[in-house]
Amino acid sequence: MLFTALTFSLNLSAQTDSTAVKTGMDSFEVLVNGLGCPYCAFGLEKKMKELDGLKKFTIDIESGLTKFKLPAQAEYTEEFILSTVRQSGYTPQNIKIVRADGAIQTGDGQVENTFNLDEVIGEVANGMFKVSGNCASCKTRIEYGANSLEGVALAEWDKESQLLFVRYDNGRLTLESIKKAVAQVGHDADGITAPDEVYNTLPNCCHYRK
Amino acid sequence: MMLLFALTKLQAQGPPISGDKPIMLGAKAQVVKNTNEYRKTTEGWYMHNVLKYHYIINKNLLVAVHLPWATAERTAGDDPLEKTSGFGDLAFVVKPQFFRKDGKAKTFRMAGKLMQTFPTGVNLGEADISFKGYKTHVAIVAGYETLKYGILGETGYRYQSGDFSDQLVSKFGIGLPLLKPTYPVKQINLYFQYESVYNIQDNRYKLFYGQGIQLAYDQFTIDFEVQIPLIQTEGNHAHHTHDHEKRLYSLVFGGRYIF
Repeated sequence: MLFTALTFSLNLSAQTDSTAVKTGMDSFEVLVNGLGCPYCAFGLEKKMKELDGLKKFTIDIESGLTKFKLPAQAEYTEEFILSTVRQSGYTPQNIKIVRADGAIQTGDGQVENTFNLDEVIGEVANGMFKVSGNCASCKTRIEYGANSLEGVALAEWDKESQLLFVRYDNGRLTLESIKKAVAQVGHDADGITAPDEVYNTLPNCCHYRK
Repeated sequence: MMLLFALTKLQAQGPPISGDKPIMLGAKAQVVKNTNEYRKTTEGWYMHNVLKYHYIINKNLLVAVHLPWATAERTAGDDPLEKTSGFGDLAFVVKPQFFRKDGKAKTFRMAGKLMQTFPTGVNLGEADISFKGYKTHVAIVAGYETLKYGILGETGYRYQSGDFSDQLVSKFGIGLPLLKPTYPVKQINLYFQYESVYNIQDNRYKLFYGQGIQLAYDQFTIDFEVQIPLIQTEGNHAHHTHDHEKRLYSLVFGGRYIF
């Protein structure tokens, strides 16, 4: 009888785990192009507020960086969020999702990019430089910082070598400006030190300075 | 001719109160506008008060309805009119957007525009205000907007029924925000615009300069505008006898609320 009761409770526990409801909030960051005026930002906010449970919605109109939170339970996908932005009349450039459980998703292949080889002003150039970081979160942040610049087509950071590879339009920007952008998000980049006030806000796991 | 500031229809921050632009707001946005123009001419004066409702159906399609109230009095010229008021000619607008190129904090867009006016209002003998006639205006509207400035252009053809000449209408303007762009909106914009009107059958040409200021706060906007004529030729008067009349200036003010 004791064995039966134990088995029953284990089964019940398994059922509870498999039907566990996600709690907490997922954090979204979307880089949006086309916000040529503050009223454009109003149009985007109005559309996004149609999403149930939307909280802490902010837009930086100069960069187009749009941040908000949505209930983890709703499990909003990257594709759905990007589609919603497009429906509002603007162009999503990049997306990063930090799920309530800590998992990080970044946009890949489904996002429109303003870097069009037909529109290269200078030449497509490759560059590589050292960027300090510790973990997967650092990788997301470093690549995000570089990709946020118009004219950067590709940014990939390798944790082992601590090197960031970039492909960019050298008629629009320089390697130095990419380094500065990466430093601005909190990672020392090839001699350019990240501001202390930004570095100190990084999660503990990302504190690479010894 | 009185020298006044003219008002501009261009805006770097939102649609001009008396002008037009491509669709910049997002889908499902609704805008209620009110524009009031006092027009002084060589023969009298006109007052044109319009209540406008704009609805953006989706990111590429806007519809609107314009309900005017018009007043006029002409004490000189060959077409005198005692002071007369009444509802003006009702107008409907459809604007499909067919091109969009978005960049970081900037955008370039183009839209077609069809504005159809119906003979539902009082006949004041002035097609711009209310003439109890049909008017069909077809145009292309283009706008380039950044956080630092905006450029707007419009070119179109206007058919007017009865004795009124068809017209070729073009507008070009620039808008400059005076304050650092913020969201929510708190902004003061300056506008500068040229409007060109050529009466085809009359061979008559008019060029106006407008300058104005717009105050924008959150979802509200208030505009003040002055427009002066730079060129007004006589033409051949092939059409409406009213064509001897020349504009001295226009004063426009209005407001807008975005839902």
